[in-house]
Amino acid sequence: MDKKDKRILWLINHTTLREFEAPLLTALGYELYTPKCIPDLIYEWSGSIDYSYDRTLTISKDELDILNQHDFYEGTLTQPILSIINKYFGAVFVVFYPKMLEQVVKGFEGRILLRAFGLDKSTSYGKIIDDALGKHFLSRLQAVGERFWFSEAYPNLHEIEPHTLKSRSVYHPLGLPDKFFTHRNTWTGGVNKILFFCSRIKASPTYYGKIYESFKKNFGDIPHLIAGNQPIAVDDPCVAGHQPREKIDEWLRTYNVMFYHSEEPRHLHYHPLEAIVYGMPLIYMREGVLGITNNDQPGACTTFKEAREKITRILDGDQAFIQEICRRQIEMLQPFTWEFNLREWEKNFVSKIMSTPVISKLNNAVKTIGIFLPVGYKGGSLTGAKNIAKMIHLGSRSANEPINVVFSCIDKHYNIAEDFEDLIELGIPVRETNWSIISRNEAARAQGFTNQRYPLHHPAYVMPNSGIGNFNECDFWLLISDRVNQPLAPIRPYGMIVYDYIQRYVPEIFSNGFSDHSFLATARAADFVITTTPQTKEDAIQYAGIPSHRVHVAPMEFNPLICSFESNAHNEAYFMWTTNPTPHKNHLRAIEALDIYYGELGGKFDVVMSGSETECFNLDQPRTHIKDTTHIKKVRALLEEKQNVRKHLQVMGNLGVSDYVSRLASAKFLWHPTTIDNGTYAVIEAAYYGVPSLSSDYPQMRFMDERFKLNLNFCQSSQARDMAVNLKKMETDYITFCDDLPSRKFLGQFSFTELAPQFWSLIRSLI
Amino acid sequence: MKKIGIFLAFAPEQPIKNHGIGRLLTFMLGGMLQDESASIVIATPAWYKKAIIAFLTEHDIDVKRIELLTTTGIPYLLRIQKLFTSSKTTRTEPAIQQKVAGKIDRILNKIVHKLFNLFIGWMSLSSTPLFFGIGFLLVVLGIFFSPLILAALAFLASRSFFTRIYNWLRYRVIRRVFGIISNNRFIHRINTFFSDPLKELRRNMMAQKIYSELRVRELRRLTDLINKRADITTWFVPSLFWPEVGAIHAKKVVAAPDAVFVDFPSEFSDRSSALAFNRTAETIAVADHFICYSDYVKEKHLIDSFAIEAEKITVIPHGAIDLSHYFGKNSAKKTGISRRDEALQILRDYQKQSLQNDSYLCDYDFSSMRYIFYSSQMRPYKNILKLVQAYETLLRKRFVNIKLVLTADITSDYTVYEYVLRKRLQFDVILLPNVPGKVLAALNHLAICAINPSLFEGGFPFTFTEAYSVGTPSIMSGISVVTSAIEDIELQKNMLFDPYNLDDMVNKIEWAVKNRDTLFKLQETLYQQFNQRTWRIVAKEYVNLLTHFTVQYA
Repeated sequence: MDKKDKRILWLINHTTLREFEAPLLTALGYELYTPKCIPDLIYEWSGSIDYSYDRTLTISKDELDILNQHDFYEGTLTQPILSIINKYFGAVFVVFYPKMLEQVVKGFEGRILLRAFGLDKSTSYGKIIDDALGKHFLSRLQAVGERFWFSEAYPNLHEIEPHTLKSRSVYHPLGLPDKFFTHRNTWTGGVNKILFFCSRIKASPTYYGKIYESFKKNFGDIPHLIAGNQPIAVDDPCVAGHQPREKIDEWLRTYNVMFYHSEEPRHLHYHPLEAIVYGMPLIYMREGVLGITNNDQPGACTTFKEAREKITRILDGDQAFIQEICRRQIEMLQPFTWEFNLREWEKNFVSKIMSTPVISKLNNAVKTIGIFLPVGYKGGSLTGAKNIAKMIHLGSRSANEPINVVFSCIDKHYNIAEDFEDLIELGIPVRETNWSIISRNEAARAQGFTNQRYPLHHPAYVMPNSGIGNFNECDFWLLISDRVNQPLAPIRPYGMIVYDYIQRYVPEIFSNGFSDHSFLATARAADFVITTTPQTKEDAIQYAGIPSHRVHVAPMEFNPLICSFESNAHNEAYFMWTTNPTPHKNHLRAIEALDIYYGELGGKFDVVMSGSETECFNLDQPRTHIKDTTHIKKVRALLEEKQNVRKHLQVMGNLGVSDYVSRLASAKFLWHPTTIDNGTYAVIEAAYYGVPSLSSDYPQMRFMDERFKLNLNFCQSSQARDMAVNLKKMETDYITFCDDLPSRKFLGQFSFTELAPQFWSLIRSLI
Repeated sequence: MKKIGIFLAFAPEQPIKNHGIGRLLTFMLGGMLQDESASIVIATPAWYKKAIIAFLTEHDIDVKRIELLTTTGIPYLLRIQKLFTSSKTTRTEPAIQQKVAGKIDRILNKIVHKLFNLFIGWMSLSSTPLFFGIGFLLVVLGIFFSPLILAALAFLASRSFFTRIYNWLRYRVIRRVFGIISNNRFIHRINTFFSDPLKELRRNMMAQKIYSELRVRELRRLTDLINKRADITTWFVPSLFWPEVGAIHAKKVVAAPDAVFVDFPSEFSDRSSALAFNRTAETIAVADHFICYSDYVKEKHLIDSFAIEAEKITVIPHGAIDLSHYFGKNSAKKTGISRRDEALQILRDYQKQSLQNDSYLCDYDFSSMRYIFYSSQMRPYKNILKLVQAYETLLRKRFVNIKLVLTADITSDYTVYEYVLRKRLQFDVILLPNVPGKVLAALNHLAICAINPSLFEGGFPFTFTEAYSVGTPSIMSGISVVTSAIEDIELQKNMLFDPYNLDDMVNKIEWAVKNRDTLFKLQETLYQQFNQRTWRIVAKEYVNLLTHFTVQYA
């Protein structure tokens, strides 16, 4: 057996627990490490530091020192620490401190045991984990597989937990240290009162305050004493408040009966056990932990009424009853004894957990990724989506972690053989997909078969339907863009690439009454969201409300349009305006700017407009389309009015690649007057062909300017005059701007083949 | 012993904590009770007794030290009304509602299951006499219980029928005519009526009439009680809306926060405002002495508009508000939890309790939210539309990536709410009305900057010290109560804007967002200046003034 399987990282600092469990583990032949840097909160929870177990460890002093300086509760497990613990330790016990659990699950490669002592009825481990670490954490825990154990101190703790914890539960009983038994059978009795423990009555009015009130209501008329610390004083002569240990010992020796109120099925206090050790009669409730395992004891009660009767019998001196209780209650201590624990731990820890070797490979679960393009994009957006598929395919192969990629596009929209030739050539299957709407109930049922446990807030969801397998063979889904008309059903873990939140800045791009709620809801339930600019990342956080640690910026790529074209095909002096008919392209303001440029400023260059569907702005072609948006109508009306602009504007519509490149390469400069978007590649393409650009000033364009060293000229998209003045400046100075453009070689480093390894390593770290 | 009487006559459905008066009272009472020699009597209608006690307890004010003088019994009309609205107005936590619904469903399912089992048991009988015997018995029982069965069936059918109609309306019709809803004032009103009947009811003139009649009767009973108390010679009335105090024989010292109608006559052209103004005028007419919070209100509102003699008015400015007590005192030292984490926890708890029905906020991650914050009521002069427009420019023209959080319930103001919806700002202008004090403290702490664009305030706005006490600077409109308190011209330039000038507002907010720390440092002296004036001092001034009258007229 590997020596490291004899070492345990015992990340618990509870004093009483350590007094029992650490010697037990040592007796079972293990070396133990316990943390030395602990937050104040742990001190408050009866925690302490103990260096004595360092002596049991056969690891070097230097490495031990490094561990001793690390705060396992609040600190991040950095590589140096991880390499030590992964080298020397075969298992870790984690106290229930979510941050610590998260760190350990992230980096530790051995067995992980979450030590659970039970919580009160209102909550559960699963719930607290969800709250503290997010809904995704449990599925990550599931991925840890057989290395993870839910180590429960009482055999019923897992009953209310989610599947991930339940299926990995193992019973590791909780024992009582030797010193606990020193006063064995010293009870004499004599004080004819109930001894009742209830601390923090005023400090915790909603929990202990209620217990106090209920006790007073049911037993208040019987003489009693209430023990336990009271940080806030209680106005009741029966409440003793903080007392020295000797006093408590005296009560346990002399009071005639103890009542233990608890009906918590998963939490037990120490004091009823102490009473049994002393030999004092204990009256307790069947619903509580003690009652569940010791149902038929004479001291067990179902109702407070029954408890009252039994207490009265004891206080009235019913000796036969008292002796019957005392004689039989001793067996309740059985599960807390050293012998019992040694036996159980031998069976449930040594044999069951430590003797089976672990497969330490991390997250090797994902083998197939489905990539979805849920909208019928063509042109640049389609190319971008295909490049992501290619980057994952190529990047994973160059990292020697080949992964299968399946590409989904929407049904009846593409000529698969032609439009996806490049993917098919690489061996990436392309599936035509319909997006079907399912109800919340259907989504819940489907989710029930998986490890996903994302709460279903919405009445309806969408699901991809390809007719074959519906992408269930994919371990991970990657959604390109957020354009789904209902939230995506969280059936598989999924990530998203979101390009922009234009609707936040240009609300007109959606028709009245349309809600982007499903976009945001889908992004919130995603494991991660990738953007290509820091500004869109910030939108994802502020607008979509995604936790910042789940949003990442991927390297933005650029792939030049390479084709043969005739240089200097166009001799006239003009500049390019690439656009499309959506309102955020800012046509109205741009036309006003052109009007000033040609009129007042005497501009000389013509303007050539191109881009998909831009034919709609050509006034020479009469339009009868009923589908024209109000925006298109407004633009046409404005053009009609501004004859000056109309004279100089050539509308090309959608150009083929070589036509476009030939037009672009002969232009004096390119103009990008959009209000806001995620940045346009057109300015990089222009630079690639030696053409400078004038762009609207918004953060995404500033980012691209910096990343691709474009030396853009900027103007204000909201001010027509500023745009016009800058157009005039471009007209006079464009030649000097040509000198500041980046070289083709420099731009070459951003191609998808170059960026594939970087992109894959980002994706790999996220799935 | 100085005995001070305080007169409170809120309408039964007015939550005291939503009112400036309520907050002022807690500070004052806290301060007054520190003076051992003062004793306080609060006179209030019986319908408000419970609310007052709950309110005092919530603010850690020792109820035992306050005598409550109330009428006996709550009028039946109110009890009936409460019965009808309680299911809508009491905010049962959704979890509990679900629990109850779940329980009913389980019981119903159990019954159906039992009946089904009995039926199968009957059908699986093989003995002919037994089968027919039971069949006969069932027929007899069926005839006997037929009215009951028919009623149950009718109920079930109607329930599912109405649910269906309701759902159809909600999902089909409303969605289809969404455009109309956002544009049509009438439908908007109907919509708010269904979503919050009380609010609409209060605007409803008929209901107001009934209420006011009820009120008159109840307050008459209360003033009778007051007049029997010869030991209290002066009554403090903290509002201008209660002219019924005229019936009190003892001296009445009335707090006059403002008579803002006179500054914005056109904003208050509706009928209920006119009625409110009449009440104000009547109250002013019967008062013996006035307390204002600023010289502006004294001069402009009381002296200029109501011709009150200057010596009958005392100006007692507010004290500084400190919200930091909502955070654990040494929690950072004790538990390592930073104040930011603590504030986030408060927000998350609030989200879980109260925002689960908001599809946008229910799972919004607050931890990284960057926002500017305006805590206020919804009043015409609060200038909220301008603020929303300024925010829109910041976001969409200047690309300042932040949100705007408001505590005013703008859904009750058609113009503002319609603007937000039309401009699709509803996911960026976040509304958190009626939040508890703790959440208010957390929101102030986490904001980049507090904004106060109000066109009018009775005294220096609370929002400044509220925000600063939890580490957040403010920028605000340069109205006279504000400028007169800030001597430093440089500071004025940095933190004040012209509330009528959109560009100025936008520029100042943008500067503040980008220079938060600088602004915070700049405001330190100003904060210290306010902070010296504690509520204890303010309360003492109130006590002095009130007991002065006690002595004078005893």
